[in-house]
Amino acid sequence: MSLPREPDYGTPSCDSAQSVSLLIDGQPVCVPAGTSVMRAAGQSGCAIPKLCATDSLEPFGSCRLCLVEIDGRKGYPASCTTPVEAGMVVRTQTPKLAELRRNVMELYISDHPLDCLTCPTNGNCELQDMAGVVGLREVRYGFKGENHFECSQKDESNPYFSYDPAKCIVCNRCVRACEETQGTFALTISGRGFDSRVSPGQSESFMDSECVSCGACVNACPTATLTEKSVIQLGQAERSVTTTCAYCGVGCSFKAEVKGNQVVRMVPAKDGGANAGHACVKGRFAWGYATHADRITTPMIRPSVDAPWQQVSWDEALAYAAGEFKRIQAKYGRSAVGGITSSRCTNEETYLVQKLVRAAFGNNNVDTCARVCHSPTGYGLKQTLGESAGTQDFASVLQADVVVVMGANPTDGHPVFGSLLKKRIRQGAKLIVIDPRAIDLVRSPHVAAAHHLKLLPGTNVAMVNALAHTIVTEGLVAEAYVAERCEGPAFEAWREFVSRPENSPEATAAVTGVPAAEIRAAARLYASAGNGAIYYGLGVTEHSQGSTTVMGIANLAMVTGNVGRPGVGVNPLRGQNNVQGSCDMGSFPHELPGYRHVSDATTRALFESAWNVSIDPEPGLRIPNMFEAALDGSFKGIYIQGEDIVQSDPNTQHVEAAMAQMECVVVQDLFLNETAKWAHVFLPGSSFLEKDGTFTNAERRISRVRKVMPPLAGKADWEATLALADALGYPMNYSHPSEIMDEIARLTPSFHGVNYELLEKKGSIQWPCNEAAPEGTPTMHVGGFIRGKGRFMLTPYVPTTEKVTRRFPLILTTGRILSQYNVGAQTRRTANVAWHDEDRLEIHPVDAEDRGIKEGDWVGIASRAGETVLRATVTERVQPGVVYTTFHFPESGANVITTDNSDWATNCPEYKVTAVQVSLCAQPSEWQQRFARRREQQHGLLKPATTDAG
Amino acid sequence: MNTDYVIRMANQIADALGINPDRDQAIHDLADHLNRFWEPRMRASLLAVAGSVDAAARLSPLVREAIARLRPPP
Repeated sequence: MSLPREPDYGTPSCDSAQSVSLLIDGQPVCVPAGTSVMRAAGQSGCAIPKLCATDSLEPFGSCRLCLVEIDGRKGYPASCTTPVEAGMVVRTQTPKLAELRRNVMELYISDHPLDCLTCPTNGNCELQDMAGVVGLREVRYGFKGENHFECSQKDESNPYFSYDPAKCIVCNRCVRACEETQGTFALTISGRGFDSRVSPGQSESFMDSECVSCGACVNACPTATLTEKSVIQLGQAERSVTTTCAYCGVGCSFKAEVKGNQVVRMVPAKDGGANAGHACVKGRFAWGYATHADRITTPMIRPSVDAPWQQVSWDEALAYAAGEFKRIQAKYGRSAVGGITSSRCTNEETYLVQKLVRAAFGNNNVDTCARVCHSPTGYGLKQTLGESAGTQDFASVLQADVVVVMGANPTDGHPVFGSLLKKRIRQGAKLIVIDPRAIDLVRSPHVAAAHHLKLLPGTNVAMVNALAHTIVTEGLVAEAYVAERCEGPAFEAWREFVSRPENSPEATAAVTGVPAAEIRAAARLYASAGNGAIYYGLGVTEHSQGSTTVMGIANLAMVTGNVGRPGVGVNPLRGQNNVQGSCDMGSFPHELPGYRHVSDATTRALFESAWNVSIDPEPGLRIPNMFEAALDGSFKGIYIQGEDIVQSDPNTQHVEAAMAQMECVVVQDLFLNETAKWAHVFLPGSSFLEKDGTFTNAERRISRVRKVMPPLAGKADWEATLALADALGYPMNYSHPSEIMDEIARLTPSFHGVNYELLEKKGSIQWPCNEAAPEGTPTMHVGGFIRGKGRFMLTPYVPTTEKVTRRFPLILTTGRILSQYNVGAQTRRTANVAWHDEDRLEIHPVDAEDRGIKEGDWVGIASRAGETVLRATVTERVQPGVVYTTFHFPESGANVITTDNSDWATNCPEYKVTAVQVSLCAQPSEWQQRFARRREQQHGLLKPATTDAG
Repeated sequence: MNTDYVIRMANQIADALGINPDRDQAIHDLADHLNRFWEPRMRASLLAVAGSVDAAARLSPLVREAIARLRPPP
């Protein structure tokens, strides 16, 4: 039996404040003006048959099944394309309509294979449903005439879904979903009349076309034409569990459809607060890693990193780890150990890890992967606006008039938001892209940036200052807003600073590489926008001046009055699913949950009372500081939950040297990742499908993570942390993550109102959620800033010390690709490798020609930190003098090249600027050869353990 | 902790905060930043740098002045 479908009212809802009253089948109905007759009827309980209509897409009016009769109207109008009118009298069920609908269905069915019993969507097919609804009992035309049953081959090229043209009814829903929902325009209808068929690109296969495999077409298909291969293989699911994606910071809500404990498919939830029924290739399809054969599901220990792993019980592993931590603290001091929380784990789990460090280890040596991505956001927004978080919800972009995207690549890194943004641009909003590289948003179907400020990497601060200079000196300041809402003296000092000639676009053009006129035009556009919104990513934060740029962005938003209402704001696009949450939960070494400094005695007293311990008032070590302390011999033990610091942190050889000095590294993860190869204890992690909890996305939206299957290793991550705390002699008594959230809420003002009951009721909640905002806060800083008055900060441009020279004449910058996710531990273990199975170096044709490099050549990339070898992609996406790569494969060694330069305020690494030389090369680098040997050795050390288990 | 590492980070912070035309405020902000964000052994390393004539010469003047306002590591 198939799962019940979500209600589908056929056409989108309307927001109009004006309502219209009409009669449908004799019943009075009142709906917002602009609503279709179809939707009005559906909402009043008179569902009208339909095929080409679905409420995620604009009405199309092609299937002719939704005909109705309307008093005073000739013929039988399509209810999907007919808006309601006051006093309208509609009939949805009459003998004539029944006859017409049967005739329409008869035509459809005469050209549709009647293999329902063996069809993968049997029982979950709208065509089948409609045949039943209209009472089709015969097909007078027979099935021997011309048809499409055998005419076309199935397209099986996409690894995740199949396209069977024989089952297509040409309703256009897939084509429209690709256009309206995803915004890729990869699909079309080729041919005319009877020859009409859905076609990816120019009659290409799905894989050869522009298709990004978001699954919107599959979702929209009313038949089995586009079907998930997992459904074809496994059959339909038995139950559905609503949960939250564990990939990027968009935090899409999904219905995990499950048979037994096996996921059959992940369907984006229509009522998902962040995604509203859309998804991307990662969340929709790339979940197979959760049950990949590489999963390690038994705890392991070993005395040294060159010794074979020994499989042990949970108790033995935890006792060993606790014993080692205690031994180290007794020998080297209380501060010789620490922990790292994971942005891929839940809020409750990160809360527990920082609690373990603070309460059981007795220090503040806890940090999180936000250190290497958005720690400057935390610092910069706290300084200026008063809260370490983005100001809007995602839907806000639909009210923006001008959107600035700086150092972010939403269509790759945050695809569902990228689609929403493209929708708004298609509606007429203007786009300004500030990026060294021509990201897809600069020019893609029906989207073109009004300005692409193609600056040189490392010059962000000069750019924001030049934009600010233009705004201030050309009289574009929102004077009344600034006077009312911002600190006067700080604003005046800032105004004087940015007005200086050295900050003008003309003066900074030599630094940024962007013509002054282009900067001025962009500044005028943003400042005169009406609603101007800024979205930014790691291209802003991962610099030696990351925090300065974040403050500069906040300055721009304040000076133009663009904070505190829908459609505007400062919006960090967070990298991982729970980066916001892990920061909220006190994962930084200087802050307790809720961004309260450890030196604050009142806050400390609150937690000391709740935890029954004394909390160290001194800040702890950040991740890069931990490496330095390890190298100087004062930091010897670490508990790492769900982060692969050896692959993801910069200057790999430096990190490896630090890891080699550690006496007890406890890694809790799904796989034997690069960090685990330096570990002494391996605790099996649990995927997001195996536990309960919450994630908080980039818009501060707290959403439930729900257990879909039991933990493969017997313990969810939160349970493993509890057991480790217990072994350390600090028992924490929680029987369910909801109790952990209750404690978080009790101790954290911005979470006071959050609990699982409310999450069940509302689906998701955006913090702050407390007495002042019991329903949560979609838009922050309305009427005033969290810190009271907004504070303009001075943002001097200080060039990075990572300079190009004759020896290292190019700048390397790094980024992500759509199909892979960060260090790739998850996506590399899925069919997503069909799109991207190696990291490549993008190089401009001019630089390539200078070096004799052709497409696909192996090239060595050398920096002051190290050397690696990749294949080259020659492309004009990058500008001359700049090269680019991704970091999804450990053997690529992207971070062998990056240096340990970091942001002045937060130590966030300067991944985006590394001076390099690129040259033709014949063999892997020394590091890569060493890596291959070590990988083989470490997997060899795992083998005996695996064999024993068998 | 590595001397070069500590000197480089302290000077970077001074570069960012030294823009303040009120020098005393800049010194205060720099010391405050170090007290709020630097773990005690990092502050201890910086104090050790300040105690070495050769190493201290590589510190920016602002850092040298801020050191007097550092909270002593416990």
